[in-house]
Amino acid sequence: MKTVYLIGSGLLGLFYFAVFWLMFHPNVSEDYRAYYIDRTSNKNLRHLAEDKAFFGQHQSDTITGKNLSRAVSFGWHTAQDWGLWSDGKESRMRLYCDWLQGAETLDLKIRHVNTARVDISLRSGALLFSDDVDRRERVITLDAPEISDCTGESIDLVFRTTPFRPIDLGRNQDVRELGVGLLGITRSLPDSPAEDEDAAQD
Amino acid sequence: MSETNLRSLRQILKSDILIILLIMVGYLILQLGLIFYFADDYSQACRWDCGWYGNVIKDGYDVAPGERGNGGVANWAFFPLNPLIGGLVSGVTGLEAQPALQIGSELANLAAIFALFILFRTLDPNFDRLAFALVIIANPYSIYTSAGYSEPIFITMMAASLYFARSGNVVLQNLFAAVSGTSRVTGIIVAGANVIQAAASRGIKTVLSPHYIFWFLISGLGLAAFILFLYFHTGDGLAFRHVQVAWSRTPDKLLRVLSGFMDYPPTDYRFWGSLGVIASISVLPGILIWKKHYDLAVIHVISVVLPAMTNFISLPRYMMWQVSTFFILYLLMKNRFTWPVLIGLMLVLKFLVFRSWFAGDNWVI
Repeated sequence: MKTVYLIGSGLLGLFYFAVFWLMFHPNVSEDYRAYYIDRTSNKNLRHLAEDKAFFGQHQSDTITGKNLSRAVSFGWHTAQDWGLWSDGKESRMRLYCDWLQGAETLDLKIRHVNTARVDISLRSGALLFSDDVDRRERVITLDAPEISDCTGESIDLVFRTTPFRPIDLGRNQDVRELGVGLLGITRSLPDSPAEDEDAAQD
Repeated sequence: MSETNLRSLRQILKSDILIILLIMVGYLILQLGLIFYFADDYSQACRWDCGWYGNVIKDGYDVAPGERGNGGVANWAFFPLNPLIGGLVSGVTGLEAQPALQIGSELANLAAIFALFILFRTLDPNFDRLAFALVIIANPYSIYTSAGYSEPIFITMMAASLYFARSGNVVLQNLFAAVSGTSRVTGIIVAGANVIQAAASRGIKTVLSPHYIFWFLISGLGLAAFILFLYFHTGDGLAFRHVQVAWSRTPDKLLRVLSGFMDYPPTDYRFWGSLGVIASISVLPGILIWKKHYDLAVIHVISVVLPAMTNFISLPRYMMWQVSTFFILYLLMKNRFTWPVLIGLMLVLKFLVFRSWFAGDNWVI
């Protein structure tokens, strides 16, 4: 019996060796490796990951539709063709400095599922926008040194509002808690006006 | 299963099954009472990770990141045991994925109550049933059992593995550890913790026998199977870890993370999170080592340190839903000086957690 256990242990050892080898030799794309692996597994390669711009935020001055999912980090519902809804009272957006670089201001096209106060602040607490927003689309311009002089890795914007459930508003059977509807983000560069949204979709 | 284990389990079923059932009923009454106090129907408890587990049941694991929007996230971080149970409930009852997940998690919690009962009875020769019942019923983070989270099945497998290890059943301790490794990444820690406990209590020779080593190696099969699946499905066997970056969870030095709490005021949950982690990895393991529960101490430190190295999101949940934390709370509940304060604190926190859960506050996710 002792021999059986020894042989079995040897075979299991070989199996785990193979699993370990596969763990550290992933078969993935360059973009995947740069964003997911190099940023987590080897911090020395972090700058390479930054250059890769997995999220594609570099590609356009305007982010709209399903691409918005690449700019939000926390507390949002799944993106749809028109944009996405915030989920609950607080949601966050993460914008990378290499995309923001050179931008003077940031324009957000938003609406609300009902009518409610919307506060947008930096994660540090600095309030950038506070006003009642209703169901009509509106463009708000965020102007702060943290945006135009963004020098770190990224900045986080925090959205706070009162969410509503469409079912409670008598609109439809949607039981999700929805707050701010985000339709687009545009960086305004000094000498190049914001791209047309339709042209910017990629 | 050895004759000793069978006799022990039979004895518990004979003498304590009524008590265990009463604890389960008491737990469910308070749990459902709080849910219906804050929500109109039970399904509203399904939030946050519940949706993720639900989409694993409905659509399986994502092939590429970002398929579901919300940046580069994917459902690889959600280990398969919990959605497997939910899928089973869905298959048997015909329920939709998310309610099936919730029911599966509630059932797993009943199994967890049983597993913790038999484990604590083994760990404590003067087992106090009332103290155990109070800890289970007043568990401040019990919302996750109704939210379809993996915590109950994780605790069940960990407790079962620890119980069989303490009973000397090397086969079952490692089979349960293997299953535990498919519930959460930290589920595999129990296999190593059992080795340390056996070496300390029965001598190093015990754990160096070919029989022990073979079954110890079996314990890694669950996690290895998930890694292999992810490799052939996505190309990355460690996708469950790598995808954490999309939730801004990148590993950092623990001390740097903990010292970060100085930046936050006491009104911020991260301030208390840091203090909680410091207490949790210093004081609590000390108590467990003093009581010669080396296995629980190891599980506790690793299970808290690993998530704390990324950030504090979900950390209270990770700290609370450990066999070690339940055991320390049980010891405190047994103490005639500490129990009145403890039960009060646990019930107040439970109420606050339920309120925050349904209000959408993210400190309870």
